[in-house]
Amino acid sequence: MGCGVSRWLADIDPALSEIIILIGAAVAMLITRITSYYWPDGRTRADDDELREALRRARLEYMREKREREEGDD
Amino acid sequence: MTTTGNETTCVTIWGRCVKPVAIGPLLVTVVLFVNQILALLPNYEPILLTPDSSLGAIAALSGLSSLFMIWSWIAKQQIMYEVGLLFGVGAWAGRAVEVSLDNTGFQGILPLGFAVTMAGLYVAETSNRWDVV
Repeated sequence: MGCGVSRWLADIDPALSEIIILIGAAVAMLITRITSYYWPDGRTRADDDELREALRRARLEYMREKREREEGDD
Repeated sequence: MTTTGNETTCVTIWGRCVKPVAIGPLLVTVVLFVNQILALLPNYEPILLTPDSSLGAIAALSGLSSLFMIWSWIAKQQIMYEVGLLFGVGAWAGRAVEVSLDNTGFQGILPLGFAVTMAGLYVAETSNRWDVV
């Protein structure tokens, strides 16, 4: 028991239902890609700035310690 | 948390992280691919309810999806899993359209559910990155 739309489409043109299914698949993939691009990940610009600042400080601290170690070796 | 990332909480087999939520999409998509191939072969019967409206397109999409997901696990490439999930969304959405066209719309809800689940996984995989450096 079914509505048999695909059989009706196949009577018009055998490739028609194949094309409709491919369009459905392509639309679903496109919506997924666009959604993932705009999906909020709970991260604000302030979070990014804070993380960048923390990384910058950590890098400076590492370089300072490295320099002190090298001077100690000399 | 990503479905394939190497966090410390996952079980490791052959040096690779294994998570059930990453295996699920692979399992159902491989079954769909095998079903479409069996439906295409002349002397074999498909293992799932399969209208004969579109066999090649869904076979191609599910085959690519399975290939990329297996590749990502073997080669430890996260991007391949994401591409595999995207093709999987296409394969299952295509099957939802196929089944809905040939049967009542309610029959298409199960494959549509798989498509939405894989789309959600894709969003989770791609949105959880702290790549600000």
